[in-house]
Formats: sequence, C-alpha cells, structure tokens
Amino acid sequence: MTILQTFCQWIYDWPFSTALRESDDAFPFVETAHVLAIGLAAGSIVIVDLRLIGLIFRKEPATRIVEALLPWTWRGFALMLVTGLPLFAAEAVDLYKNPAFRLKLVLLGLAGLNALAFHVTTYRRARAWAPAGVPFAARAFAGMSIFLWSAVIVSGRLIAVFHVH
Amino acid sequence: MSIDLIALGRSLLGWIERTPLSGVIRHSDWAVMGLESLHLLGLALVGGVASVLAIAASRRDGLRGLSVADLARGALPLQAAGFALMAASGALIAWSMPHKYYLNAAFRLKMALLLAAIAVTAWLWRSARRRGSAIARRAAALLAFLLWLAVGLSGRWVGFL
Repeated sequence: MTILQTFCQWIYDWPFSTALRESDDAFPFVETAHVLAIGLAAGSIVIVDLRLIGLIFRKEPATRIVEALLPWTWRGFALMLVTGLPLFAAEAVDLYKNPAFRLKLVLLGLAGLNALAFHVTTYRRARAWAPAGVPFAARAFAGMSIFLWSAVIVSGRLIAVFHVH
Repeated sequence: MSIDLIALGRSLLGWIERTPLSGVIRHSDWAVMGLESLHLLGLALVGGVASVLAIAASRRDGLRGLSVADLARGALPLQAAGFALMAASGALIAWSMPHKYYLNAAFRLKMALLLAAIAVTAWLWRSARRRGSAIARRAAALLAFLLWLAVGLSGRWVGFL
C-alpha cells in the first residue's frame, strides 16, 4: 500500500465518513449541494470568460464584469470544496482507484493554475485595457478556462461510471 | 366512435422505441453517458446564470451596480444556449427509453416544473428589454431560480425511482 492509499483508508474509516457513506439521505443531499455549488462557480466564471472573449456584455467594460462576478465564482468554489471534501471522505478508498476522479483533480489543478496565471500576468494591466479591448492573452486564458471547467464537470459525471468497490 | 387515448399513447411510445435512433442510443455503451455529460454541462449554464440573477435580485444595488435587468440582457443568451444543450441531450435520452420516462412520476413532475421555469424566465427576458417595475423583475429572478432548482432536484429524483 502506498502512503496515499493508507491515508485514504484512514479517512475512509473515520466514524464521520462511515456514517455519511451508510446514510440514505445525507449523501444524495450533499451531492446535490455539490452540483449546485459547481453551477454557481462554473456559471459565473463562464460569464466572465465569455465577456473577456467578447461574446456577451460587450457594452460593459470587461473589468466591471470581472469585479461583479468573480467574488461569486470563489464563493461557489468554496462551497464546492466544503461539500466535496465530505463526499471524498465517505468514498476515499474507492475514489483513490477511480481514473475519472484522478483526472478531475488534475483538471481542477490546471483550472486553478490557469486562473492564477491570468491574475498575475495580463489582468494586472487590466485598467489599461479599455477602450482598446481585451488583449489576446486574456482571451486565451478565458478560452482555456471554459475548456477546463467543462472537462471538470464531465469528469465529475464520469466518476459514477468508473465507480468500483 | 370513441378514440382510445391510452392505447394511442402506448402505440406512440412503442413507435418511438422502435425508431432506429432510439435503438442506437439505447444499445450504445457510451451514448447515454455522453448525453448525460452534455446534459450536466447545460445544467451548469442554466443553473449558474439563474443563481447569478437570483444573487443580484437579493441585493438592493444588484452586483456592483449591475441590476437584474442589466445582467439578464447580457447573460440570458448564455442561459438559452445552456437550455438548448439540455433540451437536445434530454430529448435524446428520453427518446431512447420512452416507456421508462413516461411512467416515471419524477419525470412528469420535472416536465411540469420545466414549463413553469421557462414561462418565468421568458417573462424576465421580455421585461429586461423594457422599462417596468424593478421589484417585479427581482421577484421573477428569485422565482426563476427556485423553479430551476426544483427542475434540477426532480431531475435527480428521476434516477432514484
């Protein structure tokens, strides 16, 4: 057993994890809240991305849309973690082996790196964008964000398909 | 002469099930899985936009000064695109197993809620392009969110029956 596998087994054996795993109602309830949180995070980030690309909200400055919506992306993301961690704990041993779950974690990491790179590079000079328009680099980060978030959602759905005990 | 509606309905479901498209999706190893993934992507767009509008509606100044009307004008086309993706993928899934969905109580409830959600969203869309009561628009945005949420929950419930 690898250290990571031992760690997953330890989490899996917590009384909390066992109770959630064996519950009839709590698990689907947390799962539903998790999907809602993903909707808020992904929905708000896609609005921001499409504005950066220039497909919607063209009359509003891009920075205004970013400032209005990005805080809600982060709140959705926080709720996604708060609901996702117990779901992971309940099935940690199975998820460790699940290729769709591994892929989802990699994609989430890439989505985070993409967002970080956007903020420390091109978005630093965002005040100077208007009215010349959004630079190509920012639009590229936005396109990558849409792709990565879509892939996160699809790989999340596929976890159920690859689920084995 | 009376028309036997139940028999007519049964033969319609039977006809759908015998179409080549229905069989191809039903017997494919990955088609339903792929369609469900698209359905979930559409749900994220529909639900995400509905949540953003509801958050703006719950605050006096909207989101940083962007009102429900401002946000609806910009984001409802995106929600419509998400809805088109959901409707197309959902219709194909239902087409592949017509009896299963026709007989499912949660599916029937979902379709009724869906009609209500579409009606409120259509009103919101129209209202965002005209002048009119901002309070009514905020109420509609909150109601639309609750209805889309109910559509999502009843959709999840379809799988439990």
